[in-house]
Formats: sequence, structure tokens, C-alpha cells
Amino acid sequence: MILVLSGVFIIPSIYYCLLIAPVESKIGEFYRIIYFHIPAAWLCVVAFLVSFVASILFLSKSKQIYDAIAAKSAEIGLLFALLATIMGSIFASLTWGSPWNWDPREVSIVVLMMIYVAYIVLRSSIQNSDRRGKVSAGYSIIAFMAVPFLVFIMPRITPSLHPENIGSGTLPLTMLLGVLGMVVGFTLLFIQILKTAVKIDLEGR
Amino acid sequence: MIPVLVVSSVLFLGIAIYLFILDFRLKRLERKNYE
Repeated sequence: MILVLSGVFIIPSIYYCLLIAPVESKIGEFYRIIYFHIPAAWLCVVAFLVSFVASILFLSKSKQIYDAIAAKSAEIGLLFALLATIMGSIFASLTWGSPWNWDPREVSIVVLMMIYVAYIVLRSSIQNSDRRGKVSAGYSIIAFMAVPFLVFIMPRITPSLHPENIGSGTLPLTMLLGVLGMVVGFTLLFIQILKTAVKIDLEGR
Repeated sequence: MIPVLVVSSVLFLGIAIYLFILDFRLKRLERKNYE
């Protein structure tokens, strides 16, 4: 059901973003990558937030489902962070001339990925499931403290090649419509992936 | 336009394959646990 609902948002959004949304005057057709890059970046923050909340719930209620949600959400967040970085690099090489520019947002997403790779390594290094849940929940809560700083504060206090159009509300409505459609569709897709991944995790325990 | 089409196609194809693998693993685990 969720998958169908995500399709309802994503399919018309793809059509809109690729064929109807106006061409950006300075960048040209390449700019359309942002319709996929922004939702992927958004989703990685949402996934890390879900992991953080589930970790708090696991520590307070000690239910295995919260541990599974925290672990799987962090893994999916990492996957989408990687996708956002790859798409961002393609976009950067086409528009800024180089796939890597040491832009604050590029650096911050890599730091974020390293933090969550460490989370996965930590989880896999502990055999006892109860101890693994508690230690990784503690790590996840501390790790998430870095997310607002790395995603929202650091790129805004240092000079960046990234435009801040969405935050300042100056993104044209015609483009914003496409971004919002994709963001909603991607979020539903994330819920579907998380639901299946958590079921697998719980069945395997 | 071609890079955009390549990026979007690879992205959605990748997500579809990922979902398919997850679903396949879930069904296999459910069958195994049932048996």
C-alpha cells in the first residue's frame, strides 16, 4: 500500500521534473538532477532522525523492535547519503567543473557517513544482542547530535557553492512543486524500505 | 538531459532492485521460520 502511494507521488513527479518544470537559465537541463539529489539528502537526515528516536525508545522501553528500527534506519540513511553524494558529485562536475570542491556540504555529508559507518561497525563488533542494542543506541543518540550542526549550521556559517534557495524561500514555485512531490514520494519509499528491512531483522533474530 | 536521465534511471532501478531483494529475503525467512 505504501509502495503504491509512493508511486502515486513519484511517477507524476518524475514526469513533471523531467518534462514540465522550466529549464534553469544559468545551469540549463543539468539542474534537473537536484530533483533527485535533494530528496536523497533529505531522506538521509530523516533516516538518521528516525534512528535517533528509535534509539531513545529502545533505551527507555527495551523492546527489540526499536533496536531493529534504529539499526535499519541508520543503514538506509547511509545508503541515501551515499546516493546524494554521488548525484551531487555528478551535478558538481557538470556545473562547477569538478566532482569534488571541498564545499562545506560535501565535507559535512562525508563526515556524517563516516559517523554512521562507525555505528554499523560498532553494531557488528558486539555479539551479545542486549549489549549491542544498548551500546549502539547510546552511540546513535550521541552521533545524531552532530547532524544539525553538520547539515544545517556548518554549511550556512561557511562560504558555500550550494545555493540556499529552499531555506530562504526563493526557489521558484514551479521548481519547488517538483522537489516537494519527490520528497513526499521518497519519504513514503523510505517507510516501505524500513518496514521490510525491520521485518527481516526481527525474523532473523 | 542525458546525464539527468541516466542518473534518475540508475537511481530508481537501484531502489527497485534493492526493494525486490529485501522482499525476497523476507519471504524466504518467513517460509524458513514457518517450516
